[in-house]
Amino acid sequence: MANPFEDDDGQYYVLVNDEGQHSLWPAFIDVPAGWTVRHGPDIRQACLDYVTEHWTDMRPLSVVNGK
Amino acid sequence: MTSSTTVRLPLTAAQSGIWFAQQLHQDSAVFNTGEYVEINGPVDVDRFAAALHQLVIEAECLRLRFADDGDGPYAELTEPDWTLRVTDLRNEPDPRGAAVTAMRANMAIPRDPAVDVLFDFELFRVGDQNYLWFYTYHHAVVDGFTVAMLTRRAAEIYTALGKDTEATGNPFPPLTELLTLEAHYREGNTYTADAEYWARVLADRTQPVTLAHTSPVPARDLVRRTEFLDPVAAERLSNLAREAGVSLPPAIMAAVAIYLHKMTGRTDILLGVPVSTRLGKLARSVPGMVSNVVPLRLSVRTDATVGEFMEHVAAELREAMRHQRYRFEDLRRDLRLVGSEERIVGPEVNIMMFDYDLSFDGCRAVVHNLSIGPSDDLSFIFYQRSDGRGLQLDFDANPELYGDEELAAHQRRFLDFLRIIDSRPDQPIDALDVLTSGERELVIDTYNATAHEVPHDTLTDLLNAAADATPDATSVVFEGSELSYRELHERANRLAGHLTACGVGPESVVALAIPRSVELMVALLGVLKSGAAYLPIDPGYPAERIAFMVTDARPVLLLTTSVTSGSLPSDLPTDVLALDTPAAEELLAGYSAAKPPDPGLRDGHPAYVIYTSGSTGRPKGVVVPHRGIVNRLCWMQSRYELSKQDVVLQKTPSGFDVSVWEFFWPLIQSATLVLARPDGHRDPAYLADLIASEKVTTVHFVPSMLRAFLAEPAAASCGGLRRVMCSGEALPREVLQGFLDLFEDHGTELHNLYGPTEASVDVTAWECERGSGTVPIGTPVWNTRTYVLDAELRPVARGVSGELYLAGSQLARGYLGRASLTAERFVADPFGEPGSRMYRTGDIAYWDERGRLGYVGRADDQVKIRGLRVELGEVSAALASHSSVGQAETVLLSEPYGSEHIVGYVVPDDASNPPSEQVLRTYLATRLPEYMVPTAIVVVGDFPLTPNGKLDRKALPPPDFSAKVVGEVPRNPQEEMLCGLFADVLGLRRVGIRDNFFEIGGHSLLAARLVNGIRETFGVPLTIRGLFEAPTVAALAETISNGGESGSPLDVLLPLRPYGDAPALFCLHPAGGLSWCYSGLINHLAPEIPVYGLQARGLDSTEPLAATIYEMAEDYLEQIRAVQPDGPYHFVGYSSGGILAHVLATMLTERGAEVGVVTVLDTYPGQTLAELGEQEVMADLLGWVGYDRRYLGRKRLRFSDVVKILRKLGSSLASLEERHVGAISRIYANCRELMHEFRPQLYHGDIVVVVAAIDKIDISPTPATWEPYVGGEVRVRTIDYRHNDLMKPGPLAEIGQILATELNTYESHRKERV
Repeated sequence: MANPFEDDDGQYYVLVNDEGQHSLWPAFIDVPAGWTVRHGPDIRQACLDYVTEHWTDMRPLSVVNGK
Repeated sequence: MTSSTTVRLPLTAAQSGIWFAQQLHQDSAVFNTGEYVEINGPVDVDRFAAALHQLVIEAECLRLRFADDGDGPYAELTEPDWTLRVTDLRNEPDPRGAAVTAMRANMAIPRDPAVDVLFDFELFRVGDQNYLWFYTYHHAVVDGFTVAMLTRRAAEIYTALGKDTEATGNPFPPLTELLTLEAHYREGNTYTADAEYWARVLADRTQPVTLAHTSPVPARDLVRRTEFLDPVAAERLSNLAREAGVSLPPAIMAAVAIYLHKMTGRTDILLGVPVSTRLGKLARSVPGMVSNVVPLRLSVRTDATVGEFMEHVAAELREAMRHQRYRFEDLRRDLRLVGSEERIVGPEVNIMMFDYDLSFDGCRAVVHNLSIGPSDDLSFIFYQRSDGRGLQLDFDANPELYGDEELAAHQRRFLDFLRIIDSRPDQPIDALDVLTSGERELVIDTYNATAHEVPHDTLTDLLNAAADATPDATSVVFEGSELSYRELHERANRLAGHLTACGVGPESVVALAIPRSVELMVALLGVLKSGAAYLPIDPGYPAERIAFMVTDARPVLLLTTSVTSGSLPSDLPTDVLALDTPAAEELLAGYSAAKPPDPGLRDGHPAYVIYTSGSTGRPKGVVVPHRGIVNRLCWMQSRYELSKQDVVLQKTPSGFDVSVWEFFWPLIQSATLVLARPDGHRDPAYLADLIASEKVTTVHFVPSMLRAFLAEPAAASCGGLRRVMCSGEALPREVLQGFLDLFEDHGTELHNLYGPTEASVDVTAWECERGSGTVPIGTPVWNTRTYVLDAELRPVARGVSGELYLAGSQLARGYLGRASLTAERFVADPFGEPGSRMYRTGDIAYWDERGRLGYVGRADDQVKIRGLRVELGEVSAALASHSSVGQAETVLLSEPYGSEHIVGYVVPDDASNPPSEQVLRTYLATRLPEYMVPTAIVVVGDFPLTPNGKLDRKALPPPDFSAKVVGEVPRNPQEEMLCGLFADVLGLRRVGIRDNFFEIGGHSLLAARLVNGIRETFGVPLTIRGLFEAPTVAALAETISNGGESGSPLDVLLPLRPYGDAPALFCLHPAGGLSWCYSGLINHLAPEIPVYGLQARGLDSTEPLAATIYEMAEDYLEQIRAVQPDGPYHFVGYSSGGILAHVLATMLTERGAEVGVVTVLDTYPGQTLAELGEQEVMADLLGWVGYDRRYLGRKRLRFSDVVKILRKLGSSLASLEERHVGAISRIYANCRELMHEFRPQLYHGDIVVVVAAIDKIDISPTPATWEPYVGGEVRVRTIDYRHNDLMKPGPLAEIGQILATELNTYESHRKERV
């Protein structure tokens, strides 16, 4: 069964939510509420590279801010 | 059938297919087809019977009977003996219902094509003017086309007889016409062309599409559901077909294909289409069985409209119909599927367009079908009738694959779907949605309504609260020592104090490399109290993996014990503290035992980091926050209600997340935690003892381990268990049944749980109950949502498989330090709160009709080995990293009994210098945990590829474990028995005495079976640990003989099984003097009965041979009394051993000892033994192992050849030397001399005489010969073997059973006397 997150030739976004958490996202599917596009559309590997480069502190922001 | 003519006909290919299928399932009635014709009006019963008699005379196919004379089946024409039964049901409350019930009962009777009449007729009167004519035919004699032909002809004859005119002459040509047509076809060019056509169409076929969730099994039964598409919708469908320029059948097939595509995501759809194969007028006029099924291969293009797709289907169908005569059976042969259960086509689509006007002398009649034969998967059967009810749709299904609710749901949904297609003919297939909005709400919201209030506490808070509530209760029990809650927490508090002083706090990681022990519990609690997350490290892991985890997670500190620290890599980049050294104990004593101050821990902080296998070759650490695990534990408490009196067993290694609830659930509920000893978790006997002795109420098993546990006899003593949790792999239905069989009466519950480490242990649960089909994984836990989605993240309908996604408060934070990996697995959730995430599991699942999830399998290469998660990619990557390996692949090999192996395949870098398996295994063992190391590594020249260029896993050669067997032959009967047990468990032909169980395919679950087998055979208390310590036959034989006191196998007393508390059975040697032959009895005797052989003196020495029988007997008595001073004594003897058994029994009775069962194996007093030389002795040795001397021709036997054969057969007799053969011959001659004309004395007890019946002739001695010498009863037991074969395995098994019964009866009588 094909998975929309596993298409090496597909176009993707990098999404980010209020916790600073990043998500890969297939460009052909609507972006869910509460997430904003931070990168893309771009090829899968480029999106993953973007995540590696920019999501360096993986703690949720609510934890960082001591909530 | 009464008589038969001599006409002998070959079978049509179609008949052969049915004949063979019926032979495979002789008790199956699934080939009985049936219908009834409803006749509205008066029926002249006599005329009706006359019409049917004429029909049977006209249609040869109804007069067939089948036979098989060894050259294959053929048919004969007979004159069947039958009468029309007429049943008046007008007085029944529901006459029609009663009639149909009677019809179904009739069709449920299996019919044997070789014996039975293959049709039956019955006329039911259900109203004054209302009759039902029922007919059933075996599918071997008719096809659907024929049934209609026969019905029409019956009406015709009936009508003609009414006009007092003869019906026109027989319209049916003889069956030979059909056979000739078929023969012509098979000899002609069309046949070859058809074969080529189908080979081309099916060349790169894929697994056939199915709506079932389980593997295919041939149909033995049938379920049918009937529904109607209303006339308006049916009319719209016809219009739609017309607009697309196609007829109704391809339009309907297109709709079925689109539905299957929507349900499965598959675009390559292979349907089966039943066809008549009757091309031409002649073919259409002969009744008989020639129908066929042709594959219809369709490719669904999702951007095409429904109309366009219908055109595609019509074109493909036309093409397929041109080649319809090529038999389905021939296709299976061409595809090499004979004998396989693999299917070629998916569901079948059968469209019955022939609606005919039927009238019996002016009375209108309507046909109602009951069964058209079996359906291996699912058949969509459409009837276009002109009765105003629309389009009739029957679903015929294989009940092994489809449950009733499931079938009904598919049928409803499919009919809805037909209406959707009707209304949107111009839409691309892509845009059609099979999910109604109601269904969508059901699977997204209703099934996931799991919101529940959970406190914002951390796991640490909950642990502290329990300690405060019950400080004096027992918290932990380990190997006989106990700790109260206060003691445990005080030690943990001191450790926390030290950790805090080292700078540890929330968001830091502390590693634990500690085997199961009290220290481990102190360390876990200490770390949680400090606010840090714990990182479990299995001390048994290879150094390289430990070093990787420590480097990757960067723990502030690693806690261990003094013994374990020695086995850790020396240069770990972290501080190491061994908790049990005097220095450490002194250090910790300096910290306060009081609860440490709050380190600022919140529920979003990590509680633990657990590493799992990573597909790219790098393990990944899952970071689980307190919020997740607290939700999981609070749900668990609410669902299963652990009380303070409960006792939980902790046996899962801390590196696997099941251990998390085992550790903490009891400790937050003030219950007791019992720790299994390290390594104890894989020993079912130890676990059963521990559960019983510590009164454990709650335990977890991986299903494969549960299977092993249930096989352990001591499991029966674990009735104190209240609940058993299962997770880690699919729970097989038969394991569930086995559990309930054993524990249902004790009220023990079995729960099936599911979840990945990434979602705090488990996310779904189901309480097991009896039933059929796949065992569900249940429904989501508190605050957890589970989605089954298709390739575009749309929810799929119930019953449809999709990928499982998880959302809610149990989600992990992600993978430690792996941002991109986290971003691709923990993704935005389109169905949850704004900004929330979902985890994609890679598991394939479906919702069943009751809203429970079913597990199907994996979407990727992740596998489970004994419940432990393994990415095959990681194993392949490790293999490929060896310098001698060019490419590597890894597959999972499933074996019978549910055991699974990882098998590695490598293409060497340099083909002329391939790496040895041993080198690669050693290399992997330094990198991967033991359970990930392949059981076998196979070097191949190249990887086989599928036509699409992917690895063809099926074409990889299976590993040959037998090639690793060195095969040194056993040296005595005990070793031979052990070799047999090894070989049985491993599925090998033979095993040598130095072969290591774990190197030739053994693993811990098989080990449990082997240990059980050894315990049952030898009656020794062997444990799994014992097997790990002595993994070869030679080593085990030593263990079993109490440390090497086994002596020579040629001694007078041969301890075949020197264990057990019951009185022993003594086996007296036959004339040759050896008693090894009796070892085959042991398996059949209860393990508590010791078994000894007595052998003649002089086998291995030059000692003088016994001069009289009494001298021999005295010698043996001395030996016997040395191992068993008191009676009762049981004896068995073959040949001269039978006489000896009687002599010993007589002597012992005279001396006042108790004698038990005396069994004489086909031996009679006064007999003279044949003369035997060395040649005959050697032939006998071969005979005992089942080898017929005649295989070697008439030439003289040479000792070296005999030994070679014995060795090849794995017999311990191969260890005999040539001089022993000489000794045996001498002993035989001596025994012959002593037995000659020997007259025994009177024995005042009973004897059992086993008579070998086959070679007895009139003048043979009978058991009565014994009567003068027996004061009690002579009990005769007859077995169907020859005298000379009695020491072979088959007869020995029967003798063993006779002995077991006799010994048992004796023992129970004895108890009554006492």
